[in-house]
Amino acid sequence: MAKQQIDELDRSLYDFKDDESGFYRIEDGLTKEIVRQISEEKHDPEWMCEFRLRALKTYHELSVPDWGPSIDGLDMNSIATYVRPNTDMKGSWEEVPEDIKNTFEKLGIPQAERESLAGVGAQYDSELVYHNVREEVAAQGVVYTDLESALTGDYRDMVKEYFMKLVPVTDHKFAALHGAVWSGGSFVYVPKGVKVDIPLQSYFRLNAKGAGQFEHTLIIVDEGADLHFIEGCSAPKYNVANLHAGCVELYVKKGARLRYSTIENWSKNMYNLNTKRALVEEGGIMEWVSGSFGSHVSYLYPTTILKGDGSHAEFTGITFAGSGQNLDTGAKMIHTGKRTSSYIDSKSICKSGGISTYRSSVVIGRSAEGAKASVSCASLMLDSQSRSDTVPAIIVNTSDADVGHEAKIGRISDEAVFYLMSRGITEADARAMIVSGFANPVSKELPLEYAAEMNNLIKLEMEGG
Amino acid sequence: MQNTLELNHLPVLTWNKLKMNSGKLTGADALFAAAAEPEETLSDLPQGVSCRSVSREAAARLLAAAPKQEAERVVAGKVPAYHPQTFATGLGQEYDERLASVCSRVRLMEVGAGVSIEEPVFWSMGFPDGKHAVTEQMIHVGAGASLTLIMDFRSGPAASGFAGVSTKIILEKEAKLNLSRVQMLGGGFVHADDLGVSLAERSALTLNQMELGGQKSFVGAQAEMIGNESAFCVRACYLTLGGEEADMNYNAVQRGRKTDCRMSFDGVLGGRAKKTLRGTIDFRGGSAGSVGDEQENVLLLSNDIENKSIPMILCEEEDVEGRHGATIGRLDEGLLFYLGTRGIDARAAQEMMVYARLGTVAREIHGEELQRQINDYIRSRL
Repeated sequence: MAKQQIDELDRSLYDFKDDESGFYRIEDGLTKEIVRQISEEKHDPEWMCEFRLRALKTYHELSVPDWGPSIDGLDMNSIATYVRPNTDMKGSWEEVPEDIKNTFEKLGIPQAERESLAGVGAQYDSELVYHNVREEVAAQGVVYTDLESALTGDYRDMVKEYFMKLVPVTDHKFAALHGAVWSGGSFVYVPKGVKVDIPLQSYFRLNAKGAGQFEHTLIIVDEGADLHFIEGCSAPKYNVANLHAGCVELYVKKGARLRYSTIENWSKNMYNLNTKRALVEEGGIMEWVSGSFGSHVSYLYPTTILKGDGSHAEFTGITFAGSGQNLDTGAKMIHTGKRTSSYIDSKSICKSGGISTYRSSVVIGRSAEGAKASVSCASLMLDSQSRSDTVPAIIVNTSDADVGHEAKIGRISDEAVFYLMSRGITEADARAMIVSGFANPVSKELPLEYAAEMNNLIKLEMEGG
Repeated sequence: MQNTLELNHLPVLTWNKLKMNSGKLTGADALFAAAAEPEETLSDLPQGVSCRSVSREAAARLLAAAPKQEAERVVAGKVPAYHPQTFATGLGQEYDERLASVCSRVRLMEVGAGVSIEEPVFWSMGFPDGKHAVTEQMIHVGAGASLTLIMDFRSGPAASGFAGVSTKIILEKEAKLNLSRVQMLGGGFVHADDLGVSLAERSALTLNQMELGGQKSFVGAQAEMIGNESAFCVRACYLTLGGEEADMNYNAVQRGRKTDCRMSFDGVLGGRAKKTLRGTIDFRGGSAGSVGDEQENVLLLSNDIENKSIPMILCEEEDVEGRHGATIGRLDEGLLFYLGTRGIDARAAQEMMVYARLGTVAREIHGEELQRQINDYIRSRL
């Protein structure tokens, strides 16, 4: 059967650039002076400045990972770690400067807020430019603010207690980098028993050329509470490297539930070295939904520590690697509580020379009696210029565990295409239908608007040629 | 030379914190020092099959004439974790070189072209108690020939020592080799078993491997499936109990078109046993129409075990089908209850299930006498 030419994603929606004039941009590189300067610019409390300097020391002590995609093209001496747009954070879109507001209008953020979100945070380069939460949600005691405000406001003790405790700066080199130069991001606290019916969303836009974005997201869902948090990100494409080394720390308390959904659509000059981790206590539920479509190189493995007895986690993710992309993604599940359970369902698609690696680890600790874990991963190769690897590690340290794993790799079945064509469907539509079906386990977990966007991206991809 | 050998490399690295990227054989200087040869017993060879000792240089010439693998290339940001060997093996270069430095001769078994032998050939290696012994073989199966070869490595039940083995196999066009390797060493042995095979067009290797004893075992096998329609089938099992450790690496590199790889592993872990199994199906460019399948079943008998598995699929070819699966757990409570109602207590049920797991491989090994010895050995260990 003739093969169909499949084009790259149409990224024109994300590739527009804004002028940086009037922005504050710190000099390129990474030194103690630069870290102190960032700390001063952000009016950090003293402990945070010391924390940053310790993190910088750790950064210099740690090595670049030797096991993943090459990041040789990333030169920290050519990266500006802090770029502040020419505005403070606003609580109304009307007050946001016109050019920045236009950017988020094009990305559909204000519209989404009006129609389907309980609150929105919008970060532009290194700082939040907009943050708002619906009154009725705030009235329930839900705190949704930028992390800097939380750091010095009423929740400063809570921030100090939780900040980079789940992802210590010693975890890896880019966690240390994050600790040294972090800026922006959100703080969410959902009080005991409060169920937030509609999602909160943070959107991260990196506009500056040759810059890094290091936002920190800290979410605490207290006992019995429930939250869905959505994270989106994009950037225009430049011919120099940009860096994203964000950090997400999620605390799911006893009986609470948190769903964390991400649609990542960075430009293809981006090194996405992001760290996400959740700690789940007794009876808590953590759900990750992840779509990785952009960036030049990605290292992304959302990690869940199932500490509490009876806690549960799920990861549902899809990765789409096209030309020039090397996306190393997956998940980690660490079981330490009794009767904990986890499920990983991962899909990857690669084409036009793209490299997709599914990498995971499931660790069942000695104390995790009665643990159950299941992993299912599937890869779809759309041509022979691409590469797809599956690297799943399983460690079991107790006999009272039940672990299952299955993986498969292959191409679009000629028989399935033939069957659909025999029912009057064109070959192009048949292939698009099969790929959409392949991605369905992820899209069905997303809110309707985001699922529609993802399916449109896949359809666009399959229509080319 | 290094006193710690790095063995059983993953072809693509993962997180170092997991300590799965390679195994480590410590104290190599002492293990390889003054190494003797094991006591060899070879059954009568049928016509067309020969076995003799050759110099290392002669063995190297034969290996050089084997079908060649392409030069390893760096795949966008992924550097092979090991230095490619001239003739790739599972344990890898460091072990191969260290063994070569102490083995002055290589035992060469040859099967003439077109020779088809139905009766199995038995090749037994007895390793002396308290000694270090190493042995290296080459097996060359000529075009269109076929052979069933059963190798076992054994010692006294309470014996200790070092047993170093290396076997390199060349299968010419349409050659077939059914190879069984049974390790029944004493509880104090360190065992290193290295295997490399080059498969030409429509050739096939079936490997039945039982790793049943020893204090520490390092087992590695690499198949270079160069010829179109070549086949590599592995049925392996391990019994790792007490404070024993097993470190295994099976790597099938599928290069030819329509190659077929099937690997199944059945294991039993008890006591404070530690085990790592690396299994890789590696579809290289040009392997269109190939199939790879890998399955692992692990029975866990104790809460103090450490089980590590990493079943990988690497793929740079669109038109392939790769699958792997793993099931890890203890005996099913429902099954234990059912057997209990039939008068079989938990311990007897457990033994029954251990035999069932290991028996899937044992039944594939020819020779009633050897099967009886395998059963006795397993019984003595339980």
